[in-house]
Amino acid sequence: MEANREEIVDAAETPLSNYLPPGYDLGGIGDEPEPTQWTFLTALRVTLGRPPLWLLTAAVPIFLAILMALPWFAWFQGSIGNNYEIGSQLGSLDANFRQDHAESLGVLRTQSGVVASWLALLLGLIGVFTAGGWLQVFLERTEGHSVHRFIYGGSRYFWRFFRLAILVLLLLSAGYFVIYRDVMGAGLLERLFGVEDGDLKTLDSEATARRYTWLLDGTFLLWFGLVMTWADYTRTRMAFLGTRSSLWAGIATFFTLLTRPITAFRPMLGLLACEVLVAVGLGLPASSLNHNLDATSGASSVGTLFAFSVIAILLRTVIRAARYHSAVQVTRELVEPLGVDDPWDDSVGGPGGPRYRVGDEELDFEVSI
Amino acid sequence: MLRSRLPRSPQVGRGSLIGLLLLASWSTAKISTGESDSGPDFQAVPEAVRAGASENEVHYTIDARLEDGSHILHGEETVVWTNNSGEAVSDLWFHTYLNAFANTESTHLTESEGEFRGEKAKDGWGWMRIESISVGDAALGEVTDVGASMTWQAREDGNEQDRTVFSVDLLEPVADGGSITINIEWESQLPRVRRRTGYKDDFILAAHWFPKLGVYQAGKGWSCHQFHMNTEFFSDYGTYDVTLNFPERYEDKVRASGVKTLDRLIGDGRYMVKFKAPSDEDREEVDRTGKLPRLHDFTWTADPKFLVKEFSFNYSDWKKRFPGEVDFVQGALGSDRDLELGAVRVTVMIHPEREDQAERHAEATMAALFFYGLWFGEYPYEHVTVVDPAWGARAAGGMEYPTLFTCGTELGTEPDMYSPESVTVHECGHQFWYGLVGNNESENAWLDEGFNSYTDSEVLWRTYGAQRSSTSYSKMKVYGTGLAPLQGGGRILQAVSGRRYEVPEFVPILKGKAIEPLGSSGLVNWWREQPLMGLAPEETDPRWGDRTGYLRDAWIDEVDTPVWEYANSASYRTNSYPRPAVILRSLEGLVNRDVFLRGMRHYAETWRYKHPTPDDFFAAFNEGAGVDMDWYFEELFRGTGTVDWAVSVSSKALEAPRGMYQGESGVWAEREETDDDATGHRAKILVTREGQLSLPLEIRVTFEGDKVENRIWTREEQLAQNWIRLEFEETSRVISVELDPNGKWYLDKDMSNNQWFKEKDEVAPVRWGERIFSRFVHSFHWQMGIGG
Repeated sequence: MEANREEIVDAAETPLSNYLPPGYDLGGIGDEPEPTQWTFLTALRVTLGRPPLWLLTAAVPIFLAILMALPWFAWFQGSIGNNYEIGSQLGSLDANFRQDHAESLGVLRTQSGVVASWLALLLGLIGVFTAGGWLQVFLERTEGHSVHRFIYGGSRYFWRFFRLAILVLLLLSAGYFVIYRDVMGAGLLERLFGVEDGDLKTLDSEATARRYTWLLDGTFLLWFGLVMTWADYTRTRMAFLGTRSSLWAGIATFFTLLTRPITAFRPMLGLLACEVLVAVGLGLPASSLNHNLDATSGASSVGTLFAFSVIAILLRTVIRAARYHSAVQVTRELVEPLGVDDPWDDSVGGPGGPRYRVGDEELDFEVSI
Repeated sequence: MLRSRLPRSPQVGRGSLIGLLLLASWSTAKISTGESDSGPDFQAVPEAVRAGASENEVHYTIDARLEDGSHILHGEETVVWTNNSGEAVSDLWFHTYLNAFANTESTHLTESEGEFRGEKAKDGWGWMRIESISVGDAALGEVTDVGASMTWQAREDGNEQDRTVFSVDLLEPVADGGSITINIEWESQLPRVRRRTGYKDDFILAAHWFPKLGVYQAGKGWSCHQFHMNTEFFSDYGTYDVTLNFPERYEDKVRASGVKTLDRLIGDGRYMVKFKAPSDEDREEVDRTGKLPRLHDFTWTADPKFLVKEFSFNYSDWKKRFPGEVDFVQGALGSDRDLELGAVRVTVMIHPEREDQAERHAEATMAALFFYGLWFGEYPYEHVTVVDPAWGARAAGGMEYPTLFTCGTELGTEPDMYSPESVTVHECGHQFWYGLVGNNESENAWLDEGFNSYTDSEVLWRTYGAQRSSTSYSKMKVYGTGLAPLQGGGRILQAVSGRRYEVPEFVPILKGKAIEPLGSSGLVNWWREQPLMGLAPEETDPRWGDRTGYLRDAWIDEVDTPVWEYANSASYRTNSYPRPAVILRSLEGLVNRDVFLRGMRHYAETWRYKHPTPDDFFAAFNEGAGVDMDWYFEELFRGTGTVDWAVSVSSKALEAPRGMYQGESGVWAEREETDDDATGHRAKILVTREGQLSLPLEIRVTFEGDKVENRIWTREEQLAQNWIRLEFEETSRVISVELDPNGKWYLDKDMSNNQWFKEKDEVAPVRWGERIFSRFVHSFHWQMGIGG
């Protein structure tokens, strides 16, 4: 019996897909289209079809940002009060306002910074949780009870994804060190381009200095994107295969990405393009409205600005989740499921029904549980 | 000459050739006779202004050769100095300011703790060596070597390692009115440019590159200060004839004070160029104040990579752009005053990669030439050179020298970001405050820096409007600023937010290093912050920006303090730049702009090509404006007093009296309401004053229905009592109370309590709350993505 319990626990850790016999049909759910250049659109469609999840996920930063804004709102209410003509501080805070309230504004800024730092930590952990949630939902292809399965997945994968998050931070810091500090920031620039001590002021051209800055920042951005993509695939792999070691999963993912880069990166680039589109498409009109507010502007303009940000966050949350859907699709294509010992290998019988051992000479039959 | 010169004086303009010749001969004669250079003054210099109007005059003839590669200059100079001080002078004092860059023990570097603008000085030293010094006319063979008496002077701090001033004794004193010829051979090693002068690769800005005489003043002796960390320059007005010899790659890429009169390749891989400052024409033609243009320093710049862009300032173009300002000035100074400004050739020296900014430099320069000239008198020289230093030589930027100044900028800016505009206007403005009115920058830096800060803000505001702040991501600027920080400072908070973890000391390999997984990186920051959606607009009226600067450090020192005696650099900056600007702007509000303009113009014209002191300014202003503002000058420039006015308002609807009243019959009865009962409102307005300053304050009370009551709370009333209460019973309610409604008092410490409005602004707090939300929500979304 003990042996059987252990097998059942292991089975719970194993994705459902591993138990499906070849050709088994789950009413269409089991169709596994091969990743194409439009995989990212499928991912967006599927993710958008789960509004409770992306609303729940997006609600976290929105709620916390509102919490951050509340003390500022109260402070502005008190500071503006009856002391300023209506509209005089609406477009931008004038130099006198900034000067006269500099002290209390400074205190507010400091306090905001403290809270934001701790919230950054909290949000990172929430991100760890939501990653597990999304993967649980996408791997299971749940219908109904999505929120429950999301929360289940979040808690189920939390600690292994937490370890992966630490790995992500280490990789980012390694990249930062190489790019901005001793290696590239100083050594390579000096050897390759003659930048003394990595000091761009020693160059003879500002344009060249800008290009080096872009080179460094662009390289780090690329590194950042690669690490994030690698991390997404590593999480997916861990969830797909039910493994626990983020290190080994990470190494395996690295080789998978190395051998099938187009298949792996194509949907991610598609989603990145979508996110850029959202950021710019909403950012430009928001920026224009923001910089054109004046004394005559009303609450509707402010409401519109708020709406721009909320819509942007909702869409970006969908896109973020769609990365996991894409990763699941790609992982299914590229990663072989682990061989799992079939506990009923020596028996016959349909699923759920009685099992009859084959070749056991001591017992005539046994009922499976 | 490229330009078409406009007449500079009414006489010349009327074609009085004889008058011009007479003036020219008079002025030539005075150099040898030692007469005052005040000349025939068409604006009539008042007698009340101190007798020290007589200034010494100096003529430099310099021949120098730049050695290729080493940035060493070998030079010879002949100085003819005319003593107009009123006293016989028995020694000569010289500036050798390059020696400030010789080692870390010079006074300049000691005061800056061995740093140049935040960078440790460790190489690229500069120095000057006097090879010989003699007096007498070499052509006549009457030369006396005085090198044996050469003594390094360090009067202010006694620093024996400071070699920025030296003196020599004369065998015979130079009598009042007499002249002396000094011959000097010297060698200068230009420093790597880190502050104001030096080289970077082939770029050179050569300032303080030759031994330069100090200023001898009666009763005071030589005003020839050491080169301190924050001091600038002071020397006599005169003329310069300079010949420079360069490697030939500098051909046509050298510009200097004054105008180029000759240049050619001279063989042996060398290039020779001659300058005259002022130009011959400028030297000989009196300006509109009736004085002969002179200047008090000579600086040059060179870089084979320079593009030389030429522009022309024409008064009529600018008059068309700002006709209202011209009309106002005409009204203030009198309809008979000729406001015409002479044409000026503007040369911009700039690197090719910034070529598209050359026009912006020129525009800013011309804006300064126009407004400063309109307000304080014409720029009298035919030429001005604008230098945008090479990349990496920014330390040479933002410096003023006569008819040549350096500015500075960066790629990817817009005019309303004020870069390069603000620096260009400021440094060009120094052509007036410092160049034409030559106060002692070491002792009274505020007389030029403060006056210039006042004026440049006025010019910037009129020409470019408010400054718009921006945030830089990977050297690309986006309008707006982050209203709130996205994380806190300090080791713990940096670690918590993933920005930076200090590696503990006991970790061997990474000892002293830091792990920075989410360290600052321009493009990632952009993605994190989403500046298009998360930044807040920030605009600054430069005039009120001066007030912000003033309040940063308003109470440590008096404005009128020698530079090296300020408490610290912050005090120097505040008291030399924004604080005098704020005091002047408030003075403008106090006496009204037209009166202010008359006072300032009178000062500028009276002290043109001279060395005024603060008292000279006070006297000239009073005289020109026709007011006595001595009390203001004493309190503001020689005091540390401040002021904060505040208003509080209590407004209530009048209620009908109620209760028991004793009638004529002696019976107490409850009062009944009648139609005559008042139905108005009672407002109690309390205005208070905190601080030592007392200045007349306008109080404006506005009632519903646009009825307005104005009241002046006089200086005398304020001196008697620190508060005033105003009470109104009106049928309509008070809807606002404003102190100083026209914004005259830039001195007020806190202006948030200067007004009261019945209606609150309900939208603004939501607007800024929304900005905070938008700033954080994108960052928070990004931060979640780091986790997964």
